[in-house]
Amino acid sequence: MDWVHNDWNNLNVRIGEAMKSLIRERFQSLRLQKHALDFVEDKLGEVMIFGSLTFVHYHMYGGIEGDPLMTAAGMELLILATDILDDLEDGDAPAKPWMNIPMPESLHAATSILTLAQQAMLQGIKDIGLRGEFAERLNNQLLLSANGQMMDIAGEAKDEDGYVEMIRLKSASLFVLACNAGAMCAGREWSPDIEAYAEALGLSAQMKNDVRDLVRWDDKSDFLGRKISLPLLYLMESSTEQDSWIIDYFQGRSGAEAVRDRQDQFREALERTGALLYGTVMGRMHYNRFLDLLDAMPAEDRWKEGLVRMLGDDSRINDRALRSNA
Amino acid sequence: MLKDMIRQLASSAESMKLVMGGQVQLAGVSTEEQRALLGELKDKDNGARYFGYGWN
Repeated sequence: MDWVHNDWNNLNVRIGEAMKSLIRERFQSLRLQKHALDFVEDKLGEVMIFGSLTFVHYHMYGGIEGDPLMTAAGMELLILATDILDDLEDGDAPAKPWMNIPMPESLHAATSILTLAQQAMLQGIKDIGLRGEFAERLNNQLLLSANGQMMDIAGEAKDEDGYVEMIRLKSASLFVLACNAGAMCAGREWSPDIEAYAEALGLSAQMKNDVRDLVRWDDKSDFLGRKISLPLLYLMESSTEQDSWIIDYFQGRSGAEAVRDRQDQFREALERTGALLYGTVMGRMHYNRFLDLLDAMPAEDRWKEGLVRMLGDDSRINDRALRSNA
Repeated sequence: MLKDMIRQLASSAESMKLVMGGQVQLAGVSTEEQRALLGELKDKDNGARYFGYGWN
């Protein structure tokens, strides 16, 4: 099986099957089991980036005797649980299966899945000493993410610095966990160097998603939901008199009526001001930092290349150090 | 600074071409910002992408 080069779809399926096995094994309540399986089925439609990061890092750092699929499945269950909680808090994903069952049951399923995730990730690490250290690191990253999530819910980030701090806590902390979990599953200790590049990757990924969520015009639109992001802050700073309706809506001085049927106008303002370009450049700065830090790591080049390929970077595959063992 | 440079580029297709051709100095823009900006403009021009996936 050539994981390095192109078998990411198959990996997605295998992680999904491992998640389902864990659920069938540990959730004896048939109702809880059914909800959890339904939720995983929904998740199978996405790329399981966090579990894949865990799996790749296991191999990048010479894993032999660990259980990377178990750890990767645990990582994805953890992400599933946080996604469910996030949607329940934001109320902005009406089509998701967890939004279409009684809320107490969704909430209970999410917390149960989170516990199952922790159990699976710990079981995936065979070295008992490392398992103890990992338990502490796992909880630490979850607490960082919880603090960032509260900043997000409460709208505490008001400027660029506050926003970057919020996504560093909320999102990048989980990338750090995913990458280091794979390395620890391979028998390594928690690595500050992995932490550094994984955080840069996480910041970049969140900023890339921010650009995507700025141009959409549905329940997940950051603008319609009045959710702060770097390109939105830039748009506010760069807007002219003709864009006052955008600022009025975002700052709550007007309601949904004021923005109805104005998607094209909004898109034009994004292009005219350069807001989308600003968002992508900021994300790319962090991505470049991730690549530089990754290049310096003492890991096999073929796995570094595999990681970059997995991330969907088609501008980089034949570049620099990552070219050497292609 | 980067924001001023992007505002200038967004308002003028000519400026964008000059920057991509290396004919304009990006004064006040850090080396890291220049690398990211030029990479982004290049990818925008040829339809490539630096980072393909999204998650929720």
